[in-house]
Amino acid sequence: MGIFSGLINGFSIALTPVNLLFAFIGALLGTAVGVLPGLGPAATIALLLPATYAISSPVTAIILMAGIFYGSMYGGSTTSILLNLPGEAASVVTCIDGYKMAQKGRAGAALGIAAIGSFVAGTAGVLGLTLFAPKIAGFALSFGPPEMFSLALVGLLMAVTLSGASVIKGLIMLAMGLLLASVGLDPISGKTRFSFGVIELQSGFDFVTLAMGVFGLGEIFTGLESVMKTEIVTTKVGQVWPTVKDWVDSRMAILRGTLIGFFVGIIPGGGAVISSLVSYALEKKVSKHPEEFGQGAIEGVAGPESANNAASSSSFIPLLTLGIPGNASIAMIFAALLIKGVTPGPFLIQEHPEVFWGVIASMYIGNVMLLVLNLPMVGIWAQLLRVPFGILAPVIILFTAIGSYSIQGQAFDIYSLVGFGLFGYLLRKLKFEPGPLVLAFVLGPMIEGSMRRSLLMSGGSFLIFVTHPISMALIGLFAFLVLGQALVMFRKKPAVQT
Amino acid sequence: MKKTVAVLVAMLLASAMFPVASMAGDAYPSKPITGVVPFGPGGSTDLLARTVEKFWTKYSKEPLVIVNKPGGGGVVGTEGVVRSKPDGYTLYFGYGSGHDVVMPSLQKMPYDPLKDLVPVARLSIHSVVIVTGANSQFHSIKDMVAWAKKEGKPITTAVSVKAGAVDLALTAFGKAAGIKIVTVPFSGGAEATTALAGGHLMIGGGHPCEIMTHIKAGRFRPLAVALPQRDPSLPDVPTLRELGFDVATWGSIKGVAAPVGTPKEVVAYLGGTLKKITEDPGFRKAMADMNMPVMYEGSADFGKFLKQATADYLALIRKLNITIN
Amino acid sequence: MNRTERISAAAVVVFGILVAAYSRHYLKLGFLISPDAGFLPFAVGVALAGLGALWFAASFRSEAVPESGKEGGGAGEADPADAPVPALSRLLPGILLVIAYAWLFERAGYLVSTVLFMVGWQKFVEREGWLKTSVIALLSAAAMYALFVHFLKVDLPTGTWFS
Repeated sequence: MGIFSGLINGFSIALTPVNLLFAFIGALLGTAVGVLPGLGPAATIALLLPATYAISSPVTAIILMAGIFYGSMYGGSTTSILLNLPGEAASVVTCIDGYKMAQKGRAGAALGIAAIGSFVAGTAGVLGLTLFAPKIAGFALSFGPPEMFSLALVGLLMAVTLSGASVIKGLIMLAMGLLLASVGLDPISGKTRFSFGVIELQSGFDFVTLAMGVFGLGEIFTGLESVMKTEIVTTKVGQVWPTVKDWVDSRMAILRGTLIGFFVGIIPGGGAVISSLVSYALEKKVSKHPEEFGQGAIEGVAGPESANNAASSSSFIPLLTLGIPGNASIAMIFAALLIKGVTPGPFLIQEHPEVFWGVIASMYIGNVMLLVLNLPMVGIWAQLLRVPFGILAPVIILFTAIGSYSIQGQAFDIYSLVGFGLFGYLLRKLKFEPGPLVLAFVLGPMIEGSMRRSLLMSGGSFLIFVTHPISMALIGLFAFLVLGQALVMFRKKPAVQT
Repeated sequence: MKKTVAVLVAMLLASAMFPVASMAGDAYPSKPITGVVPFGPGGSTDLLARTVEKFWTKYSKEPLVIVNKPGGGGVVGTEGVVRSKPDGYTLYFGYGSGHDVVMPSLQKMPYDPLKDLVPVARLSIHSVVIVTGANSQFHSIKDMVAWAKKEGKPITTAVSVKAGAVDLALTAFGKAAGIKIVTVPFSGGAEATTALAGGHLMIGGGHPCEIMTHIKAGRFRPLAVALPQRDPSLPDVPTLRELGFDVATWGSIKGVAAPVGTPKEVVAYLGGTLKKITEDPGFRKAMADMNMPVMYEGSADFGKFLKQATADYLALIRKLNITIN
Repeated sequence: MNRTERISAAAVVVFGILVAAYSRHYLKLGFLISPDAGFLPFAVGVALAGLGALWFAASFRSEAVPESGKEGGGAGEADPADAPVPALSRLLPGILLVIAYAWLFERAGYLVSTVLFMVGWQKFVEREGWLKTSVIALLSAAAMYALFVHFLKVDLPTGTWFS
């Protein structure tokens, strides 16, 4: 079956009233649950997964799942922008400028541009998936341990660009993030690190608990410092829609973000987060006003959000063509399909063409639905900021606590959440930026694990990182960026001293 | 003031009454049964448990509800079951996994997996299959051993996790064959499989449910199975014993358990229900689609089997001198 | 810069040394060509100690050059003499309430602990009247139940005290 006839077939399945309805329900449910603080996309999908068991048709079930997936990603962006609560690693970058925009009363513009960027990137991603999926599937497999190491190293460097004014403080945050990531079972030696005999620490900390703690609770504790009653962000909702200038400013950022997200997002295990980092760093680099980044630059929202969403489309490529789930959310969709008796992989298109094309067609529809659903909602979400602090703050705490608890079902994670909240409060007092901390936490296991795996493979030779072409190119990029930055700083230094 | 106190008291009473109300009354089961999977959603144990969940209501009047409690490599969720009330309403799915039969030989456990749990039934065994990429020069175990001996080079091997069932089987094989096997542990089976599919390592090991897609797609070539007998889901693949290497492990066993002290008739009821499910053609087809062989054993046999498997793993670990320091 | 920064920098140095010591003592370091479990934590510990020392040194340098205060945003305002003391009247009860919530969660169950948490928050953090407090507390507990237990079917603890 050709692509064209396949797509026609797919749309004829996806456009039946029942499937259309489930695509809508999925997008709605995903957004509604994903927007709750404390529930990231992975948790949202896990919670809503049982809903798909009741549906007998595998196509309808997967259409519902895809809707939930897209919806939860967008819902996660909403909490990142409005409340500084990233539900997954890839949204951390969105928080930085998105939340600043919300504080300045431009929440509507940030949410609007995120919705439009997500739609453009998501649709372009599905288009790429339709046209090139089998041809570029091999790219996902070309990343072995040495390539992953070099990629994660570049990602870590990008994370430093989020560190704000002080490079030393940024590096301290990176180190802290790497350290927090090493708590728990070391998969390579089987040894448990920094658990001090506490069984709950053996599995390490969860990303959501850490991010909700340092971002969300840290923010609330800081807000509690003032004796006066305060609002959590600002009661200024301002203009709800992005202005023409916003649109012109972010146009290219959306395009670049889409391209980066599509290609980097194919790489299993960390593609999405690295693509959003790369997009942010690139936008900052090409911008005429890089000093606005970190203070509420709309490109800093548009680029990473688009990258993130293009990546969520392209992360379906390894799943649908190779049967490889690239991240936790996709792994759950994989499981839902298996239970329905459908095995995603190279035979999917032959054994179940209706599933393959139905899913792809419903991804196009899902993206449209999300836009239709969310653009009118932007105004309503932005009104959320009008809820008084005295109610919003404890409710956020309750949600994040229950969200953390639900991941592993242990009260210990609520204590961790409080601990990270206090830590986040301390960081704010000392003017540290928590972004690099949580990103290093995500990239840490990738860097450490893939370095040790590479050295096991090479028998201890570091040449493995430069004899593999992709890895060598990435190491070259890393060296170029570091040297370039060092040169800039070297030239600047005398000027500061005078 | 008074009003709030009254409301609070009412709330306290209400939440205290919930369990009481549902417990009173007729014979077991009189309320939904919770099945704890101590691993994350989407893993092989989760898939197995969810498939049982789907067929459960066909044979029992109360539903089975599967919940995931991952953490500590399975220890946290299992400990939760061990510490729960032995009334048959909290079950453990995945009994016989690495943290039940391998981990106790390597480190201190907060409970005794053999003594603190009552086996209900065995559902499946996930064997360890040795595979190589389709582009590999190795077409059989013999090729590989000959190459390693001639070149004197180590064989790099993708395994899911350090000191897990796959790692142990492959390390044992290397020792028996007299070649150097370097096991490269990943963070789980999916990651290891992906790296091997990309041709980044020479061979790899995995459970059929993880690797069968790749075998069928021609991306992996199965070389041997590390079970005492052939795996029903891969009937054409020889065992290592058949190939002349005295290596056999039990892979990862997947059964159901209840906390110790659960009444005998409850265990019998649960075991009977599970037996009926494993005989259901729909269930057998779903399991076959996921490449999980159905290998039912009742409570008593399963108990004996687990003791044997644990002892075998302990002997293997002693023999290979594996420690986690 | 102020004394708080310097104390924190010193704390980072001490923390880094402790991490490095733990990694050396309890974990295997391995070698550069075969790093073991302790390798990365050790390196991170050493790096933290070094970065902390740099931070410490930087705080002296910026004191010598007072102009640097303007580029560091608000950092320059915080002088040891007139450093604003954070008002603990809301912060402290807030933090204690969250800790109490974590402690009560499995013992008293999610419903009772949610009600108590909300009552505590409205009463001790926001200083609201009893009527508003009880309405907010009951409504939020009901919402939690409807959302997490009824709709999302999350397995929340009903409390070990009552069973």
